[in-house]
Amino acid sequence: MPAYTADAIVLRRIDLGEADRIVTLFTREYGKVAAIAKGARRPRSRFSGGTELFMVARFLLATGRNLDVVTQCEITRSFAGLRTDLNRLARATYLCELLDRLTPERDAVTAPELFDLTMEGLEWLDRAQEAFDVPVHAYELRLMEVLGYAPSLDACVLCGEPLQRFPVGFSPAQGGAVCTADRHRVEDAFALSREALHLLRVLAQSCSEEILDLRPDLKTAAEVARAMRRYIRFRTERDLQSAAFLEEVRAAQRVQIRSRQ
Amino acid sequence: MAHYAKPLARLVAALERLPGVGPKSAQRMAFHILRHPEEEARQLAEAILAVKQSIHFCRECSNFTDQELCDICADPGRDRTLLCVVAEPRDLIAMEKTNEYRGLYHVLQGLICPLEGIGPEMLRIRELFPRVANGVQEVILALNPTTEGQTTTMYLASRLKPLGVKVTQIAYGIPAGGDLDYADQATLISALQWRREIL
Repeated sequence: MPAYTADAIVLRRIDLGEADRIVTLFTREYGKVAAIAKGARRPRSRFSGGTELFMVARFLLATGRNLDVVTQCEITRSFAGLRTDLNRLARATYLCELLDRLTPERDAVTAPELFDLTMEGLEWLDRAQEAFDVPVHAYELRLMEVLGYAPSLDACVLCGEPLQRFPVGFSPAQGGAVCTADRHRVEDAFALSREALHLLRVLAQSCSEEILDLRPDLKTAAEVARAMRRYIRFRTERDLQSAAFLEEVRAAQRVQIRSRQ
Repeated sequence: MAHYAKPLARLVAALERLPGVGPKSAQRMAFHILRHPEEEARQLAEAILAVKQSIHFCRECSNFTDQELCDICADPGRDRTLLCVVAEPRDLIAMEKTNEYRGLYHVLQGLICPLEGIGPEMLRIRELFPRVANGVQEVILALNPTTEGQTTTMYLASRLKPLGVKVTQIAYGIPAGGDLDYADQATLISALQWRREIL
């Protein structure tokens, strides 16, 4: 049974039998890999902590006939801050599901870039203060870019003209913004304000520190959230499982913010 | 299943649907039932049917019971100001075996699992809030130290806190008789975070 080592983020895990777990790992070296962690649910297992969601660990894996087998794992980053706050926890779960849904198994070509991006996304969430959706949308836009689905935000996707009159349109099916003149020609296009388009551009390009400093107003944030939700739904072809719970957490957070204002 | 007589094939197929039972085990169980007296088979069948017909949720705590109230909720000697929230009936039994806890329980019948699409509305969470408003002073969240357990703990804490009740969470760390050298980092970090002053 040849063995190999890989740095990985735990994206998903399913209980198997009495005490085992099947884990979906996103490895920096080989892309997405499914492996079995035997006895991982026993309290004294060496794998119980390392096979939790969004744990980052160095895994020693043995190649199996169907599934690879986890033989060792050493946690390198636990993102403890993500686990003690519901706002962060719900969003980190969503990030992991998004990556899992959009990537095939064992695609090593984009693996290092996607691994580093996901580490960055989780790091942003860990450090974010209140504007928790900023890191989520920045991650979504960059993930789309690496996978070749980046929405066009600088010129009209239909005519190529610069976007000068607002509100512009945003069409998930056409892959980005459409100018005012072309908006009525696209069935799924919805209005996007100057501020929301600007925020999308900033989210797609800014460095980590700038992202963590962004504090969009509620109206612009809601517009961007709607655009990204529709864009992601078009790409994933159905809602993510974790999206409904995330919406509930977002709603509770909005009520909390309003009650403070 | 062409090798078995039809009723036997039906039994093997039914047993195979049980958790942790594969084709070989199902076959072994089916032959065991076949070889033993009819009375034993009848008792087994009646026990299965009785469970399905008489067991339901306790009106108060959502544990399984055959009465309107389970034995714990009906016990007048229990401390009604303490409420321990657990995910499954088997967790309640584990807590009871400690002989240390004398309060009441609330069984959620699962944990929030966003990745599987299991939200709060699919669990016995709604039933918890009226109980808390009824004289409870402390809610102890005793859920597994997994991501789902943490998600449920955080969700419940955020909903219970505004009710003005004390909300606590059980400690997580090194198991009794465990070995520090073999503990993973996540467990050790948690043990450090939950340390307490002695003497």
